[in-house]
Amino acid sequence: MEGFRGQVAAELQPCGVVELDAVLGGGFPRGSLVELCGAASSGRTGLAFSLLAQATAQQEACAFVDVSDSLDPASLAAAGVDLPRVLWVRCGETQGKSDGAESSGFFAAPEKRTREKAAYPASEKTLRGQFWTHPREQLRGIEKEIPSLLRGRAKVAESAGIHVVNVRAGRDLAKKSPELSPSKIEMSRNSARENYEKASVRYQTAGAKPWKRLEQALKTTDLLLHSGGWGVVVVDLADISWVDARRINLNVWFRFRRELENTKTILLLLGEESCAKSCASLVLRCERKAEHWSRAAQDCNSGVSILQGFAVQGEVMRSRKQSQPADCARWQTQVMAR
Amino acid sequence: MPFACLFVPDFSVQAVARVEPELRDKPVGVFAGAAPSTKVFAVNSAARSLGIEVGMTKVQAEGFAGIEWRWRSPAEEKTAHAALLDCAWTISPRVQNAEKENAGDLDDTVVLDLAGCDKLFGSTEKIAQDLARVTANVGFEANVAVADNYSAAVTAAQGFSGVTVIAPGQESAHIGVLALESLRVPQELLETLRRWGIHTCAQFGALPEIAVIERFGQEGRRWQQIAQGRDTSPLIALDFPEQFEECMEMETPVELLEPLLFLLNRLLDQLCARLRMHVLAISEVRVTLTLERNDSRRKEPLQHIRTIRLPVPAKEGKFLLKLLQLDLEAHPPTLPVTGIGIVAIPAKTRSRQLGLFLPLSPDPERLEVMLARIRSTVGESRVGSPELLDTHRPNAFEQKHFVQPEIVWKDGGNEGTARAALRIYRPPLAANVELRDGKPVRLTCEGASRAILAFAGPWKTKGDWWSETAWARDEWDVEVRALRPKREMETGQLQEKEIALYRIYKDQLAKRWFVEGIYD
Repeated sequence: MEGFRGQVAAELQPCGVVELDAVLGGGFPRGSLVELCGAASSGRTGLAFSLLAQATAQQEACAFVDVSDSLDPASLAAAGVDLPRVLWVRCGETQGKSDGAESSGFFAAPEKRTREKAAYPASEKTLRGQFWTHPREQLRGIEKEIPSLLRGRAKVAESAGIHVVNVRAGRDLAKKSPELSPSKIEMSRNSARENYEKASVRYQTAGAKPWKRLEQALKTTDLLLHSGGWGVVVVDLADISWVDARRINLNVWFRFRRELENTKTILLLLGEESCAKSCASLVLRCERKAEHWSRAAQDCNSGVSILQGFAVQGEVMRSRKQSQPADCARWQTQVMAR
Repeated sequence: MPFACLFVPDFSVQAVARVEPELRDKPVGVFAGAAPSTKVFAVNSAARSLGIEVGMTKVQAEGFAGIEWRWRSPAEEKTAHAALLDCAWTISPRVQNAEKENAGDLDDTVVLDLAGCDKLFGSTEKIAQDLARVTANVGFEANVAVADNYSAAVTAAQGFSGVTVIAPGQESAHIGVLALESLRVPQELLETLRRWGIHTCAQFGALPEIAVIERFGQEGRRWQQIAQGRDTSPLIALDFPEQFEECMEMETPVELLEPLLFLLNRLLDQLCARLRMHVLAISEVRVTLTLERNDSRRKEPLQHIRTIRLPVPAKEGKFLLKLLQLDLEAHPPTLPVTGIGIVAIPAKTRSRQLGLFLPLSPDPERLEVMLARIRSTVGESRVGSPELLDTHRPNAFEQKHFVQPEIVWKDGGNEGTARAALRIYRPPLAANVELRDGKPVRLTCEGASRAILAFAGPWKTKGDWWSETAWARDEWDVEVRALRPKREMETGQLQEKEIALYRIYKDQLAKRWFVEGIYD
């Protein structure tokens, strides 16, 4: 029919793994959202690094949005990535920024709007606000903080020592304040090690929901895609549970997909499970099949041994382009030599 | 050898009106001096027509309605003078301030040597018109005069309004019609000449030279030569400035960011206009905000200084304003602002040959703004390109400001070399490892206890033993059930059989075990 454009073949970017490129018909489609999902140690990060290496070898600028601050620059360099061409954004800093990031409605959960935010819109970041704070404002929220102090849960502290110190601080507080009955102080009587472990578990499970980091990552990705000119933008949600990642509103992925259209940028999403649904042009599931240890390591009785690498199987879960679902490729990865 | 002269009448008023463009069409007066001897220092023609005169007391002057009053600002006059010099430098590299006859004279006159400029810019008439246009772009209503010698050009510019071009040999005739007051002759000499009945330059120039020397000395002879339009002074060229500066003093302190940005925008526009005249861009901007000091006993000014270095020279004021806005939002001044100073370090404009087949790269100016926005979102030190440090210390890296490198074509990629990546836990997870015969058999971390299915190691490393930052560790690669297993899609339960590869290590100095990361 006249006036209708024929479907233009998408430009493909080889990912550097020959076996996978063959299955995908040449590589990852440009101008689209690609998801790499899989469990821990499934080889998805190595595949993402391989794609970055290919893109930077073509002199393209790439970005890595690191939601969990887990990128290892040495691994990145060992994968052949040209480091000066990679913009690394480490999400997760909360000091001084916890209130700074504006809520942009990325999540389905209703936004908590504080009285301060309502009184002072974001556009009016006053200089006056830095001068003096009313004592009433300074004490706001203290009634919520005191019980957590007594329980030794305290603030999120990322070093091991701090948890132990907090538990001890709770004990000290209990000794100094005999009016507080021991039953009210929820504190383990076990060793400091057990206390630490429990505190760590709380931190990892209940106390450290990744909303703030996700908020930062999505806002950063939005800015990157909006500015344009990037070859590959990697959003690393690999350490985020898919249960949490799927709380991101679908309209976020729709918007990203729209921003990617008619560009050459690949938005690569790493995660446990696919969360962009139909917005993803390609969904690949990675799975570790077999690891290669040096012979000496297999019986656990010998001396020095080496982890040489592991085999990864990539399965196409969804594809709008050349390859068909259930297409598989298998390749071998190598662990960086020490 | 022709000379041109730029003269800005009512310089103090025009210096104020330059940073406040809305004042240009209004009657404006400028006060100077501490109370109670505050007097009118300068007025523009509109205010003069209403009856305001220089030297009136403040009480007298404020009796006139409809006049905008400002205080004299030496800082603004200084930057206005720098802008006037910039106008002159657009035509000729040989530029000089006109000599000051009295101590109180302003820097309102600039002279430039036009030798050879006609080959570049055309006739002297066209050069004069160009100078008038350039000064108008900067915000001045200046008089322009071109003459065959230095003093004639200065006298004509100070005496005639608008553009004046004096043909060679006609200096005496042109300048002769001017009143002696326009020469800025010392008051004592002027009064003497008036008593003699001499009021114009032509009358003064016609006096016998020897008689003038006998009565006024060499100073009188010099003034007579000026009145005759004869050259007496050489031109000593100034050096081109290494930095450009704009400043403003506020009469009322600014407490909000938005009005502050409004003022910054004006100054940046002025700076960019000046730099455009020299086909230069800005490589670094230093903003100095003078803060209001509550403690009146201390006299030294309190300043808040912010510096923005640009990897790529920029010449757009809006772009610089956005960067400044993001920077000031992240680092706001702690007190109300009473003065602004902006210093720009110039650099040559970026020239780049574009091509159809160049690889993808972000626009440098948009990239800077975007990086500033990301920094404001995640933190100052968490954005940049990674750089490995030259050390064996594990996890040693730093983040540098991201700048798109130059294109260097290399042959081919690195196909077929897929690497297993290590994902780092920052900070490392504290763990407990059970050893049997010196080999790890069980890992306890995050409340989970896992049997080690396979291991490799140890790799013993140490370093910096000569300093306080010494480190020593034994690394192991271990295969265990996942410490943070994935949840099942159907049931939501944790997958118990998920196996993962970890790197653990024992800190030999702290005698503690940690999980450093996971292979992925």
